[in-house]
Amino acid sequence: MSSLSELQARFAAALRDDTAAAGFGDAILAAGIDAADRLAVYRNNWQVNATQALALTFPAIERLTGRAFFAPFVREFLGAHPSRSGDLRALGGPFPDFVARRFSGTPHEYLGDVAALEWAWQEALVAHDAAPLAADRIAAVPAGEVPALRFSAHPGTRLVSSPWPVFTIWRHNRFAEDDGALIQLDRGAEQVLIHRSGPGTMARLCEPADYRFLAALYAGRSLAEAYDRASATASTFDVGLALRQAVTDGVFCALEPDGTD
Amino acid sequence: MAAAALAGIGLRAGHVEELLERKPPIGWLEVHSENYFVAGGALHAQLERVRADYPLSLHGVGLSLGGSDPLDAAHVASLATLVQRCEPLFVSEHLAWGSHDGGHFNDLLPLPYTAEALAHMVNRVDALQESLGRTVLIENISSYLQFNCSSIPEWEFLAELAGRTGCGLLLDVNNVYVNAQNHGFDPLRFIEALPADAIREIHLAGHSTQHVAGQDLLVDTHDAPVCKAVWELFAATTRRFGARHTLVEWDASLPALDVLLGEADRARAIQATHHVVAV
Repeated sequence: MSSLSELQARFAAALRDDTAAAGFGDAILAAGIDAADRLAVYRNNWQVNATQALALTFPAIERLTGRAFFAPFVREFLGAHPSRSGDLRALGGPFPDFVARRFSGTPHEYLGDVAALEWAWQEALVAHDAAPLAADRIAAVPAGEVPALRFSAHPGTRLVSSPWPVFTIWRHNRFAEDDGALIQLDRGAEQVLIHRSGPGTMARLCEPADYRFLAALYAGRSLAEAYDRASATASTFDVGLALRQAVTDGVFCALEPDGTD
Repeated sequence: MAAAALAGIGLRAGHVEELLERKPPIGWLEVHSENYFVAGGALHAQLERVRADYPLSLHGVGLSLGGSDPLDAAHVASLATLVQRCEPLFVSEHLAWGSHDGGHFNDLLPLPYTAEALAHMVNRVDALQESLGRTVLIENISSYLQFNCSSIPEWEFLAELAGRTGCGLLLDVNNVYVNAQNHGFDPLRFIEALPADAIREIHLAGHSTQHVAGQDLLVDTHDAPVCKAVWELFAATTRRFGARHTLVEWDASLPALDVLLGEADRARAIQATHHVVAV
């Protein structure tokens, strides 16, 4: 190991672990301020940068748990999931599961699903651009082939389902809508569609049958299979309406067979 | 180039929409490269609109150029893609490291200034310039400690790096001041030692003072106006190197856009006063 690599290994260990910091003092020029105090500036920078990055991606979690909880919680998270990228945006990937595990079995169990919704929103924001499927592509498919159609989801499409009212919780806490309103956790499950509209990103609540329909298509099932699942959920399910709405929302970017061959 | 075109600001998310709406007369803009390492979406579209009206520069903060892990090929590839798309005025990174053994601190950590570290940085800058097919600028960082093993003054290290790789230097005048205060050297000595030809860009920013064990330690927080002493050092820098592309950075506690534009105006005024054309 080169001396540069060794020095960096010791520096890294000293930042992660207070007890290793004491052993790193001999590498640092003594000049009035203790090595431990100098290292503390860097440790603070690292933790504050990570906390700010996660607060930007998970503003509802920060607001719901409170800043006093959030900062030490992020330090705990960093211990379990050190950043693996020079792009801080990647840090949030394992955060929803970490939140879910931390609050599992507590009255705040819903926080895991709120975090999952925030991460899904973040993924949709930066997903590849793609031309949405045009409505006339479906209209051009011969009637007999329509039930067998399968759709490719737009890269910016995400579906999130939760037994808690996650969309309501997220909207209130991310966009501070109806600030001060109390949300009853027992108001029930919510299903959310996140979709791209041009370069912009949108989110909306789905009815259970509508969600089941979209989830089946998202998973690659045929239109007929998706219809069967949705109508088992609600006998009044209108497949034409649901499909038109999904196409308008840019949920899909391709279909198969695409009728061009 | 007219001095008016040389003052710019670091563009942060909180100012983008207002800037696009108002289109203030500012010479150029700089963004953090990693903020645009995204596959698609509104950020790309926004950057295209910015680029349509202003020269744009890409400033990297996460490559860990001085790290001893292999250079992150995926990070370099993302940067290369962005460079291709943006045709930036400058591409810059830091004389720093930020990761070891795959774990990132997402911070600018100081290198020991040794012959070994210099040889390593030369290899890394060569590799980066080769990958991007262009010259990059390397910026001096603020530091809060010095290593016992360092044997080369920071300014000599930078000058050597530029000499051996042909890279440009991004001289952060605030970082020179912060280090001069933290480590006890004359900031003018730092400025004087740098090769004038290599200086392509200058950064200005605010710092904060932390009181540690009864002593002041300056920390490069980018959360305040440029201080008087740094403006004076900037004037001296302008007298030494002439007027160069100069950028005011502000990252935390982001003020109103006009405050930042005001700081850039002040930089422009100093350039106009202190720039002496060599004869």
